[in-house]
Amino acid sequence: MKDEDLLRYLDGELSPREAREIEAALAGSAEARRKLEAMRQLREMVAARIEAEVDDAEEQLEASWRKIAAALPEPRRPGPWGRVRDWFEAYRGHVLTGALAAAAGALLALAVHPGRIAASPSGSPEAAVVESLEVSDGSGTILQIPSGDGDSPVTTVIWLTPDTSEDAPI
Amino acid sequence: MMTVAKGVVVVALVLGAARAHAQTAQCVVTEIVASSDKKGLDPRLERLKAKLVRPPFSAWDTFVLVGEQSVSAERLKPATAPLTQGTLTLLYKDKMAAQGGRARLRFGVDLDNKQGRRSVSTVVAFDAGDPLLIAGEPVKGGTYILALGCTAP
Repeated sequence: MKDEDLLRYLDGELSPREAREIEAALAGSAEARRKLEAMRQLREMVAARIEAEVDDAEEQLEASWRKIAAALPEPRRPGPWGRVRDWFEAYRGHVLTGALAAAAGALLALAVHPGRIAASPSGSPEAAVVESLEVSDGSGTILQIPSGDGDSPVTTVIWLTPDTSEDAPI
Repeated sequence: MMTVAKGVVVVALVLGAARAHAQTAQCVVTEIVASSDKKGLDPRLERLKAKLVRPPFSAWDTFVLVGEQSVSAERLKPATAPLTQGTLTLLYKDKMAAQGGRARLRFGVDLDNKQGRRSVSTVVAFDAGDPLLIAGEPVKGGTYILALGCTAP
C-alpha cells in the first residue's frame, strides 16, 4: 500500500474497487491504520493552517486597501489612480479571492508536494525557518504546529514520508 | 620586557579560548520511538510532552526514549553523532540576532541511515533551546522521532 493511495483514499479519490482494496489492507494492518490516522491529522492541520493564513491575508489586503483609499485624492478625478480605484472597486472581490486561492494553493502545494521544499509556510519570528530540505527516497513536509508550550508557541516538525509504504524498518 | 611578552601571550590564549568557546554550540539530540502500545510517555521525555501530545504525534500513545546525547558543534566544523538509526551530522553555521531574548541559530543537519546513505539534508534556523523535530521514518517497533535542541553562548 502506497502513501499516495492512502492520501487519495482520505480525499475520496479512489474508485470503489480501489477503496475496498485499501480498506481490506487497513483491516489487516494496525501500522497502516496508524499511518492513515497520522495522515488524517496532518491533513486537518494543514487545512487549519491554510484557513489561518487566509484570514491573515484578508486582513492584510483590507488594510492595504484602506491605505490606498486614504491616499487617493477626493473628489475623484479621471486619471491612473482613479482608474485603478474604479477597477479595484469593481473587481476587488475577485482580486481578493484570486489572491487567497493562490496563497492557499501555494500552502497546500508546500504541504503535500514531495521532494524539495525551500521555505517554511509561516513568517512567525518564533518559528524555525527551514531554508532547504532534501529527502532521499521519500518526501518531506514542513509543519509548524502550536506546541502548547509557553516558552515556544510553535514547534517546527520536518515530517518524512518514505517512498515505499512497506513499513520496513530502516 | 619578557614579563610583558608573557602576559600578552597569556591574554591572547585566554581570548582565543573564549572566542572558541563562544563559537561552539551545545546540542542535545533525543531519539524517540512512537508506537501504539498503550504505554504512555517515557518519564524522561516529560520536557517534550507538550509537543508530543499534539497532532500529528497524537496518533500514537507510546513514546519511548531510545537515545539521548549531547553534541558540541564548533562553528563551521561538522560534528557527528552516532544514532540508533544511523548518523547525525551537524554544521553550526551562524548565530543570528536574538529575537525575544533568544539567540537564533542556523544549522546544517544531515541524517545518514545505517547503511551510510544520506536520507535527509536540511538547513534550518531556530531559536536557541527550542527543539526541532524530524519524524515519520518507520523503524522497528514504531515511528522514529528525532528532537534537536541547541544553545550557544
